[in-house]
Amino acid sequence: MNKTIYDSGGRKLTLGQELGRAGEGVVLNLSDDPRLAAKIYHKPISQEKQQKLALMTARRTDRLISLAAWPLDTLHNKPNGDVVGFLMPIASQPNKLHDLYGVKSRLTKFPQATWRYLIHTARNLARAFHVIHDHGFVVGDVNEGNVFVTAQATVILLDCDSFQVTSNGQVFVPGVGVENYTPPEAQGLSFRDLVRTQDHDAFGLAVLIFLLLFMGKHPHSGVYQGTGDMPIGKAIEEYRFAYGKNAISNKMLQPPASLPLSAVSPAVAELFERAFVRQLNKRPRPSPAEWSTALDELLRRLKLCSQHSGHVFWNGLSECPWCLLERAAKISFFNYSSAAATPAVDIASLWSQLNSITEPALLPAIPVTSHVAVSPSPWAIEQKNEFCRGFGAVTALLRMNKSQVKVRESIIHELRLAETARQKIEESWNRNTAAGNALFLAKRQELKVLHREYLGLDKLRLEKAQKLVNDQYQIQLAKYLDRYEIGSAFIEGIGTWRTASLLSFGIETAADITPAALAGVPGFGPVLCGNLFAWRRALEARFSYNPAQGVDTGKINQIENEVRARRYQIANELTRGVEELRKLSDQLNKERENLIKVCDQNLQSIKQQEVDLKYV
Amino acid sequence: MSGSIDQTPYDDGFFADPEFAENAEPRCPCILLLDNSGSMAGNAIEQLNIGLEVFRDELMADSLSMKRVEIAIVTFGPAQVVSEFQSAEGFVPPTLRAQSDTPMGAAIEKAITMLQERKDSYKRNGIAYYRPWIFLITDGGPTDSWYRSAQLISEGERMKAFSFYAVGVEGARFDILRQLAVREPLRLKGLRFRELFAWLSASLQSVSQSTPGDMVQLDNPTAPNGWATAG
Repeated sequence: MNKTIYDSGGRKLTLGQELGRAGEGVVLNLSDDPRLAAKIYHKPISQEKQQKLALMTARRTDRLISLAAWPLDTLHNKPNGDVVGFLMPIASQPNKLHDLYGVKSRLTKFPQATWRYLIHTARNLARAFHVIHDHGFVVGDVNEGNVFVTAQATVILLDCDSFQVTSNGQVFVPGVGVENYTPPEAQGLSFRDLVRTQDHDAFGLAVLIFLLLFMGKHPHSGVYQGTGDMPIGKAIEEYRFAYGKNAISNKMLQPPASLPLSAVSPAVAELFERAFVRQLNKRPRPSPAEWSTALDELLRRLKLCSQHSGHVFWNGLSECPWCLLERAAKISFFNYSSAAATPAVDIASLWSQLNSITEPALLPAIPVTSHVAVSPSPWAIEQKNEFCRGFGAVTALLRMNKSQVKVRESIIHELRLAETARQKIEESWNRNTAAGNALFLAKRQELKVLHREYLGLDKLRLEKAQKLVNDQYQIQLAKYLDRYEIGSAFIEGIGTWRTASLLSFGIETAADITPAALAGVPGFGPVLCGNLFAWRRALEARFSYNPAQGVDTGKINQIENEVRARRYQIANELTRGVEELRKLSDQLNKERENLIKVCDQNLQSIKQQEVDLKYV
Repeated sequence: MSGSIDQTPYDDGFFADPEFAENAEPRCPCILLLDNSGSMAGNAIEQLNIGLEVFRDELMADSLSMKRVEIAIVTFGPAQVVSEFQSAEGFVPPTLRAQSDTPMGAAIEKAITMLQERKDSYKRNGIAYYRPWIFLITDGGPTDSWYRSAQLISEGERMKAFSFYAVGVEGARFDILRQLAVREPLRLKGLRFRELFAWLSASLQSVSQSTPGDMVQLDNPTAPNGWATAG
């Protein structure tokens, strides 16, 4: 049922399949040319709008066509008839801007997009606005649904027929708008006749850039500290930017688990302040060109998080803001990079290092005596000579007695000291022998287990993904059952108290009711359990499985993320662990060598004292 | 269990709900108040169930309303929360069965409480929202006291806290519906639940894509090709 239509020159064209539907018209492809699409209005359009479309087609340039679904020619039901639509380059892309800035949709539709990608898209968006402005047009109806994003992070502007066009002093206004992207001075005004400016566009552009950089949060959507509601339109009108320096005095808190403004470079933060905070000096909002420059600079100053290959942040920060944010939000903002699925650490080399660390040598049985031959010490010899020199036998004997006692006492004292030291050495020795290499072996075993786990991660990931597919039915069923709370149901014999005792065992919804779970709850006999099972069965009977739902991509990504996180964790632990093991080994070896040396010296010293004692 | 000391919800000032962190879009909450009293048994409840499936599929067809529209279902006969607030994405239409009487009043009060709690959680998380909808479908009249709920509805409408719509299936007590709702109740043509839910989805879509607080022109359901006539 292809429909025929005519271009402005009266040439016949054939409309093909429907590509999309908007409020005021339908977009179809063109059977004659796959590069072209046609927008056909549902209702006849005004003379003014017809004139505007003709003007736009006349003012088209290659630059405009490259970044917008620009009107190329007017379309007519009969040659030279009224304009019923227009021809444009086909721009169909699977994703709009909100698919990219929304965290959940981005993780599935742009699974590898990092913050760098988001900034790059924002930069390209600014450049596209710049081109539109450069040609003297105003976008006017800026919103999240008007922009396609390609896989290369370039953008295509849609709904160009609502752009504002000025020709010979006549202004063709957009006539439409969206409050969230409307600047304070235009809030509350009717869009119908509102003349837009490039500075109005600058506000909408700043909002879109903010959405891209701040995980889909609107700059004016915060936690209002005053009383009553604070809808976005009102917040915009009252300049209540929830992130800026004035946020607190504006009674706005940024939402929990949102990126702080300090996470972007000071230049970019300053542009946001200028876009959303009242400018006393009537300074215009940042232009698309200013955004492009500041975002380009930010792109050059990004660094990668050491813990997460998907975390990219401004290098002026010392800590990764995403790691902090993910902990606070309890979700992943980014997937791990699949290019960096394997951490930079070389696991194979770590493994061979681990194996090259030898077990420290164990201590032998403690030596009891020194094998070194010992002769009397020079001091003992000298002392003895002194006793005998120049005296007669009797006097010598008398004198010697006195000095000899002194010398002997001194030697015995030394001997006692050495024996005490010996006791300490024996203790250390025994301790060391008893512990042996237990610590070393345990640590090495721990690292080997980690290494084995690391090697098994790929298999684990596959198994988990496979299980997800198999469990799809169970997941849907559990999701369904989980919506039925025991407390809100009417189950015979299960009143408030029993509901409470079930709750204390973690049994809260129909999904929690299993024989295994109930077995642990005291006071639930066959009758009560039977009633609960019957209730669950009745609910199950009403459940209908939806095979079309397929496996949740979010869940698959979750597995990927978990596995990758573990991979990084193990890699870090192994790197650290191998180093620790090496240190431990060195330390044990040193300790034992030292012990042997000290023991030897001690034994020598004991032997010396004994020999000396005998000698004198 | 009515205590004289009101409880207050725990709030440490940094309580982040993961669902709002991963989807920060403004929300458009809609509570369906569905009559599953005994009189709905047979074809009526079957068509209603089909209508719910249509509702979900239509909402899912648009990626933005999928993120923005949130649905909860309260049935009456007895008054019961069948589905807590869910984004259209996570919404699995329940299969309703016709059961007992028609405690419409209790169900309305429950719905209004749920809405208030939901709004509080939006506010805590810095999430913008559109004016919520309460959409009631019945084929009878309340079997409990409904005067308080009528007061709550007129109060809520006056404060623009929500919009309340009542749809009567053949046999509904339009006299009471008219006293309950501020807006004129709608009379479903036959059992056109399918068309009703397609319309509801389209309306929520256009609401959720205007901006919070905006007035939106909806398609008139009482147009000749619509699914309703004026009650």
